[in-house]
Amino acid sequence: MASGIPYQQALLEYRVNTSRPQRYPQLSLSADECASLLQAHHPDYAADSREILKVGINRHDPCHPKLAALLQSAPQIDHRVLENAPLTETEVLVIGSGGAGCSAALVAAQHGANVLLATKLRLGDSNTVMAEGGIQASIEPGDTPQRHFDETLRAGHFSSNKRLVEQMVLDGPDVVHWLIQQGMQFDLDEQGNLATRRAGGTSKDRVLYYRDYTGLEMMRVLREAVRNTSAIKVAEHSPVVELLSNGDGHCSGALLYSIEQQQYTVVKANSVILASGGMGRLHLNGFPTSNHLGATGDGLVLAYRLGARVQALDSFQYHPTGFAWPRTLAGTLITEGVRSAGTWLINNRGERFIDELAPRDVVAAAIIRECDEGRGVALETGRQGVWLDTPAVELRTPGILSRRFPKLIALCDNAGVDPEQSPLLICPTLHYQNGGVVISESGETTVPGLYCAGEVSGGIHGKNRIMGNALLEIISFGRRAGAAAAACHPPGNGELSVAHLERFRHEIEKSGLDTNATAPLLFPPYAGFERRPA
Amino acid sequence: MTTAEQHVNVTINGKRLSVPAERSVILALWEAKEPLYQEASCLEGVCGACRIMVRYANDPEVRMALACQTNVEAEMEVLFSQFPDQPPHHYQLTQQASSDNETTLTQLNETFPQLDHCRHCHGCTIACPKGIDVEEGMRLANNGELTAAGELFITCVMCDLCVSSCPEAIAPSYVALFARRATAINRPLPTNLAQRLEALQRGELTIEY
Repeated sequence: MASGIPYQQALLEYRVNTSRPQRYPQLSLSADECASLLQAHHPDYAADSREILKVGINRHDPCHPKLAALLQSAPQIDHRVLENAPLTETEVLVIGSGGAGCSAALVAAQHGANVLLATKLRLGDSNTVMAEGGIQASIEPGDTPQRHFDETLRAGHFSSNKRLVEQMVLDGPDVVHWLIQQGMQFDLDEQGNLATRRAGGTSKDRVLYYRDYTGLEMMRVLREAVRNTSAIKVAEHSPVVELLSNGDGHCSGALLYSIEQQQYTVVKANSVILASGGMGRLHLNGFPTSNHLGATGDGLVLAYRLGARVQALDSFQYHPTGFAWPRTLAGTLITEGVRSAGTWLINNRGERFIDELAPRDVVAAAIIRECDEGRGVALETGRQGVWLDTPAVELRTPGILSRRFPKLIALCDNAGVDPEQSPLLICPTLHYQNGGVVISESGETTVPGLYCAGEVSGGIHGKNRIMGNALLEIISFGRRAGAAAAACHPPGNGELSVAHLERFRHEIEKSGLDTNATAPLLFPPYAGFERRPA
Repeated sequence: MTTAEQHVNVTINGKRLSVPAERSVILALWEAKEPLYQEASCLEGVCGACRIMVRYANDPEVRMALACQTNVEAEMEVLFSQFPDQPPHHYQLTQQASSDNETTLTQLNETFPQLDHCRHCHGCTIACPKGIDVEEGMRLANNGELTAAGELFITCVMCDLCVSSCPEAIAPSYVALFARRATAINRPLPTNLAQRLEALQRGELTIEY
């Protein structure tokens, strides 16, 4: 990799301007140009970003090596824990308390189920609370669900499950209506209509938002709605450490670990909704991440062991604009809304080098190309970035940053940076797991009784997600999974079992993989978490 | 790294540590190999998990803050705090003609009966790490101006530092959330959304592939 200009020097050389030269005659790329850019510079396409799974239902399928290591790790418990841990029962067990988990719990309760909502951190601690850009729903007169559908598919390189996307885009307006009924606010225009803005990779204003606090607003409302629903019990600081089956292969509960009590509890349930989110804290390919501390892919690992089919685990989203500097903010996201508002990306020569609202994978690859080819800005940490040209957008539209992006301003203020005066050094940050557990239209997995909703599931975004579709997906499928799980009853009255763990351990041994490596990983190693053995 | 990084001495949860400078309290702890996982989540100041009390060198004042948004400084003292859960409150909002209507206001006062006990001690406003004028918000809410009260709390992350600092147990962040939710629920449905919902209901919009 060529080294760019050192940060301090680049900052001194930076001059704000209302226009910028272009490095390339065309900033919008053809499909072929996009493909070769991705091939050359996107982390997913690197040779060491992929290996073939040897164990489980998806053996022979590609997977990122770091995730493969966890998926093919041995369980940490055996049948003895079922005899020793106290038992509690519920009708629906929801795992994870972001937007997907909370909406699933609310709808399951509305359908008459008693719900236990178990979460690794506190209620609402999730990626949802940080998803500030907005939520997609085609509501403008010139827009249609069909267009939303087409653009979701195109941005995902046509590898989405079309039926799931169809359902999601048709759900969009009703999802927004439901959120308003829960008490969520959105920005309105002068006429009292919902304000909309455009996401990268799309042609219409379709993102509904609340300043740059959309996810925060969503989460504080859903959290309060959950707390005010008597049929939902919440267990905080209680990660799931294994899913349980009833011997007939029906998912009928889980083993929880209370971090505060350092104790295990067996939960017996009619059905389980896994809404455990993504895995940014695995820091794939050494990237920083925008994800919360608990995003370690643990739910995915447990579902895979139980036999749930997964897909596209070699496809991840590196969001183009994470802070590269200052150090305290490294990896933290700068919402795509900032580019949607007209902010450019420029290299160390002050040149624009890509359509800033191209799909995220393309923009990220273009940023990495500029850095690879010596047109980046180099930090003493060894990382490189390019400028997000915030002073120029402020010069063209005075006041836009403070009016539209109060969170960004507050973050910068705390870190001693002024984005109205100085450009922000950004680099791609590991943001989202594009694939995940295969689900049906109602969130069912290939394991009876096990439902998935949100980032842990796959099939909707193909190989690249567009802004605002994550917040839509979590509520659309969270509600559907909640309704379906509430109506699900296991056959017979089978004893809870961990037979699937014994089978999986045996398969690992047979394949010659290391049986000393164990999972799930509940926190990244640097957090210093240690669990009491079962 | 070419040069050795500058370190500072700090005291966190009673433990004396030498940590690298230019870090948030959380990043500094992790680099010093100190465990931290229960009082952290988003690391960007929107979840409210990492509430701390801070005292800087040569300053007797104890300040409330979020650890992920607070950089280490030489000789600072930090205490991570577990705060008691908020006082229980239960309510179900139903749509009314406007947010500042009698029914909603009666419900607010029944749900938060301490709301009119404010002593104007400023404790909540001083405690807020987001610089919200919490006390003014409570005055507005108590006055029935729910929309205006809610507007003050746009940046609230529900860290509940205001709750723990209120001697009258008013639970300000939850009063504000009630006000904001009531405003959203009682607003007329935006026209662009209403029209699209109707078109979908009539089956006019389908997907072809």
